[in-house]
Amino acid sequence: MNEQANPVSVVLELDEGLVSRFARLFSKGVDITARTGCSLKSFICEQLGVHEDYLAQRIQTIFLNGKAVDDDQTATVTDGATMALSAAMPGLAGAVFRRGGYYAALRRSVTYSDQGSAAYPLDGKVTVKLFNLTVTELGPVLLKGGIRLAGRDLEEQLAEFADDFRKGVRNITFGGASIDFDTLLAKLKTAGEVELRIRPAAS
Amino acid sequence: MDKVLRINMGADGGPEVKTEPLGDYAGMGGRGLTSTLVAREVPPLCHPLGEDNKLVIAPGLLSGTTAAMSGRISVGCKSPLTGGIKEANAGGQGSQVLARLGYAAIVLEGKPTDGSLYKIFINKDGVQVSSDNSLKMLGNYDLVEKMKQAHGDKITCISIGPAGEMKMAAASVAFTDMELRPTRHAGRGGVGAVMGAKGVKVIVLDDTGMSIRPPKDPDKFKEANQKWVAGLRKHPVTGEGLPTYGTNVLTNVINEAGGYPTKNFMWGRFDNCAKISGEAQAEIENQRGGKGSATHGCHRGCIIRCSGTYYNKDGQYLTKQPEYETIWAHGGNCGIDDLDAIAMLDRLDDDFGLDTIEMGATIGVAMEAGVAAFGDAEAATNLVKEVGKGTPLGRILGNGAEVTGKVFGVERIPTVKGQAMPAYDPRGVQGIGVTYATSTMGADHTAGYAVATNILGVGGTVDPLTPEGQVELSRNLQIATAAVDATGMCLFIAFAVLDQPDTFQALIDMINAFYGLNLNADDVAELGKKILSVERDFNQRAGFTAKHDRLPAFFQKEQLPPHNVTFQVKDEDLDQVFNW
Repeated sequence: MNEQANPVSVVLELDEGLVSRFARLFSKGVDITARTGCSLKSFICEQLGVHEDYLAQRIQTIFLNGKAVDDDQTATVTDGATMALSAAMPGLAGAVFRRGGYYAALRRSVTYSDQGSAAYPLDGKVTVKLFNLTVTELGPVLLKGGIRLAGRDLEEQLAEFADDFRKGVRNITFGGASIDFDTLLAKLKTAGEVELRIRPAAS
Repeated sequence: MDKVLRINMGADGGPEVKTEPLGDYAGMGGRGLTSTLVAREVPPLCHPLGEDNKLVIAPGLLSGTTAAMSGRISVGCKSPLTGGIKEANAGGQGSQVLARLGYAAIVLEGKPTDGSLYKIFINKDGVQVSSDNSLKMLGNYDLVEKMKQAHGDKITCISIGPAGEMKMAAASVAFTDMELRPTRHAGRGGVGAVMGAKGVKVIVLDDTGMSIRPPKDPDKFKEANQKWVAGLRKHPVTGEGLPTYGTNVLTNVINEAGGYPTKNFMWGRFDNCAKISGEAQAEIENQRGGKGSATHGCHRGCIIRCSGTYYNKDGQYLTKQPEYETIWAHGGNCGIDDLDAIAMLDRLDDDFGLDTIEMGATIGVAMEAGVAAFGDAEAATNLVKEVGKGTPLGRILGNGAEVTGKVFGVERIPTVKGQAMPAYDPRGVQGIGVTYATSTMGADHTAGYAVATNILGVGGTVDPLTPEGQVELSRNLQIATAAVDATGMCLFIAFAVLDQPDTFQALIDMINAFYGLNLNADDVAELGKKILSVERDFNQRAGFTAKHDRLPAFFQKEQLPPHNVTFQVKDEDLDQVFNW
């Protein structure tokens, strides 16, 4: 793994409704540390904690390293992989990229096929991208477990919706120390990689 | 909706208005009517801007009724962009209002000889055509304001901007939306230039005093419509995904697949695409707020509500929520990652009356030529303004990507039959490439959009994993789309129809109950085939051959990063698309 060995811990206690404000981060992709070398289905359900029914019904499109996956049990997640999850999408493009869909043949040049390379269980890093409805539905799950990202990326996202975050953030810790929102923004500019965790605020 | 309004703009003594019964065109609507009429009445070898071409504006078969999603309208003619037959499709209020006024079509014929610009006003009492040169070179927004002052705010406008008056091949026909803004455009193929050639600046519709079209069997129609609405509402795409994020929800997914044409089709992925994605757009719109910001319908009777309203940083209305194809064309295709800048480009396109796909693709070609730098939003804005002013450079750009590429010596011109490709690279999604290549309309993503072919029963037995299978899928998609375009239904119904056979049956039941018919799925497929056959025949008579059903050579030669794929469907397979 290439990332910082001990990224600074950032913990935000905030209203869950604000998770959608991280949509762009999830679109770009966030890094998580997890056990790799397993099937895509196993990774999503066991490592990310996504319910099997949700995977089967809600997640209609999956990309592994930029290629559309049709069979989540034969595709293997390895260290350094990039995975993207999407709910149902409109139009022909939506149908084409749907998992195992009738129109999957129309994109066969970008369909994932198992290269047969050996995969071993290994603690590794996986970049996870969430698109559309999965942002609000799975985003809180990932944020609770912790995501790794560049401090500047987090700063940029928090700054864009600064007014909302100021209102919605109840408590902030940076490297274990309690700080205010503006101090956090300043520290993130030079923080390198951080590990972000979100805790829902008590209502 | 039992009559055709014909206006001969070139008649001696001024425009001549004639109302005719439907005659041989009875039972046709939307694209079925525009294409049949153009194929029958327009000489295929005529000049598109000449007196022999006709501009046909036709609501769909179910427009003007209470059927949900039935507000699409078709505009047909011989295209000045492609030289072939054209049907451009739009939302907005035009379809519902024109249908309620009782017209199955407006046909503009001839060509005025005196250079005057005309306004056509249609209400329950009849049709008035008047010369009004004070409208010359008005943008669509100012024009509509002027019409509101003259006729009140209960009207609907069908208009052209300066681009149409200058007869540019990228010119659109604008339809006002529910807020009486000129935001919905029949964009593709230069239909606005044909309206300009007819000397018509605006058609003002007022359906005051007119009623909703009554079905032959009201009870069955109501029952079918209820099932139809329930089916659309329960589906995750039409019920959730589209209302929440709009069509721009596709950006991240197409980009992830490596099929997002970037910087004039040089790459399949745009690094900053997250900044212009539907998710980012929804967050901006929700944060800025305002009426109809993130979720909005484009016409009365729309229940999917995939549109929205884009307000600027100061909270002032700027434009409607730009569609996925627009954000791609002016965004990733030009290396621009600023949603506010893209929204401004959309506003300018709408005001000047330009097809956003053609303009974005054209600017991408111009950027490759070095006219501006990729990523320079200000330069892109200035180029569109050149088009609006009609400067020599603007005239080149306003005639589309192919003309611009030729003028500036660019080899990578992403067009088929002269029309620019939309937001899906055919190397990444090869099946869509088959449709781009063979569509009667030129490169058009909507030509094979209605993903309902398996339910329509026109799916074949060929293995879809073979090239023949891709050809067959494309064929069936094009058939289904042509049929949907005839109904006046929004193409976004297709996803729910694909997944839910009872929803598709509800659509057929609505048509049957309205017209007292007994159609089945096979009949719908036959309708689609008939429309395509008519269009294909027109194009052949206009000089099109198999060699026009091809993608530009660079798609076979240049590998598209990141997957480094080329378009691999063989020519002989493409030639089989219309063999049924």
